[in-house]
Amino acid sequence: MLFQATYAALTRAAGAIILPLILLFSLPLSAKEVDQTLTWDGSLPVEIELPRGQLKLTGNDSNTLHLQGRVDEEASEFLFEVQNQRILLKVVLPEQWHQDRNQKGASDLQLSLPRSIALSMESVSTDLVADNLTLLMVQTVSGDIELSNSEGQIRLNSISGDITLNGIKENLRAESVSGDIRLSQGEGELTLQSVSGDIEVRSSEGAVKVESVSGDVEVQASRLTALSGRSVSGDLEVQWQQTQANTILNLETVSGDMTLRSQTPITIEAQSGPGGEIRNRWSDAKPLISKYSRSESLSLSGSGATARLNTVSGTITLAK
Amino acid sequence: MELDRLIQDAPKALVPERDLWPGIESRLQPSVRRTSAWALAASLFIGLLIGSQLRPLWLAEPVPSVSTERLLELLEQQHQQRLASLPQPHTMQTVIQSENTDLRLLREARLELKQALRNQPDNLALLDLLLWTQQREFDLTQQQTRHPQQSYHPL
Repeated sequence: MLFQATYAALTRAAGAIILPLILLFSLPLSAKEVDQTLTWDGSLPVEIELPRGQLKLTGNDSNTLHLQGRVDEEASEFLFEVQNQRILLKVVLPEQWHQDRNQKGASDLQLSLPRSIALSMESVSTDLVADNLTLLMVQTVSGDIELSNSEGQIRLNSISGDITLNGIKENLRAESVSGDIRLSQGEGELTLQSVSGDIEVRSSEGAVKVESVSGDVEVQASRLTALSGRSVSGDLEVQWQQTQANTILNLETVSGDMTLRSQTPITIEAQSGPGGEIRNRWSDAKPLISKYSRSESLSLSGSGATARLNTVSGTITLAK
Repeated sequence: MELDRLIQDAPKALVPERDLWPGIESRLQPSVRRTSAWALAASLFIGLLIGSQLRPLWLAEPVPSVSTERLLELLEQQHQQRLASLPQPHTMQTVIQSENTDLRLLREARLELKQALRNQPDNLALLDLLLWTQQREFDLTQQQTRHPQQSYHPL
């Protein structure tokens, strides 16, 4: 009897202590987990406001939005609902959250959604991985963006985050300040713009426009219909393996160097300003040097494409 | 009658007692030589004068036309007005170093392009590049005034 009474008392005491502890630690954690589904009416756009963490977006052919994952531990507000004619996914953090550089407890969410839905997202440091979307606009400060297998209207804007693109079609505009931009398997009207970040384009077709202030630009052109490249002090390098006929290249720099590599000579109209230089390694033709302005110019006949190269004080090199 | 006879007997020409021509020639020669030197000096002077007038055509940099200067001036005015229309960044806000470096690069590029356009006023690619550089400078300045990283509250 005594044993049973003691056992019962101990069990009650343990329950009184342990159960609140379990609830204390388990309830907030379980409250941050999310698994919700919304039905899309076919017209409402999606707006995402996610300051930090990770987000994976996957487009599909369904008419539902399915959100799973973990919401930021520091979140003071979390919304995933229809509001003011839009579907809103929003995580609000306390005012001074950015002073804590520790990303521990940040959101980690996966959202699958109809691929034709119009989606806009704003973030500070959230890393985004997106696949199979058609209408996308993203603005981030330091978060990286990875987008693949998407076609349609795509606008990406980053301050210091890198942008990596693979298999993008139709109309793309990606801009960064110091983040790098890499594109492969692009097709359509593709505009990539950076300030000090580097730009790299590989295996793409269509009309490509690349612009940078001090970042270097590298383009591997094989099936382009047009290429326009501009830079202030960044270097431009184009690897020409073009199979497309009648392509026009327009490359311009202020002080950045420019290199055009090609195994088969194409038509060249090159001009440099005072302080600039033209080096021709395709043939023995020498550039003409203007007596009064010390500028150089070189015209070469070739086939398949025409390149207009212009620099003020950089060096233009025609290399093999 | 007597007079007629005397006239008839008079010699038809007076021949000098000695050959005077070498003396005359020797007096004439220096004058001829001086004329040649003057002609040479005059030719040289005229040549130098013409040369100095023609010099800019092949040695000096071309003087930019009034229209080029006016165009550059107008573009600069317009650009400065646009920049001035932007709100000033808050003094307490942190300005990102890399952006400042790039703004400086853009300003230097703008000056370099203007100078290049003075030398090559017909180069439309340079004009295009100048306009693009101005736009990039404007965009970057604008970005700095509403930089999300400065406030961490873009949302």
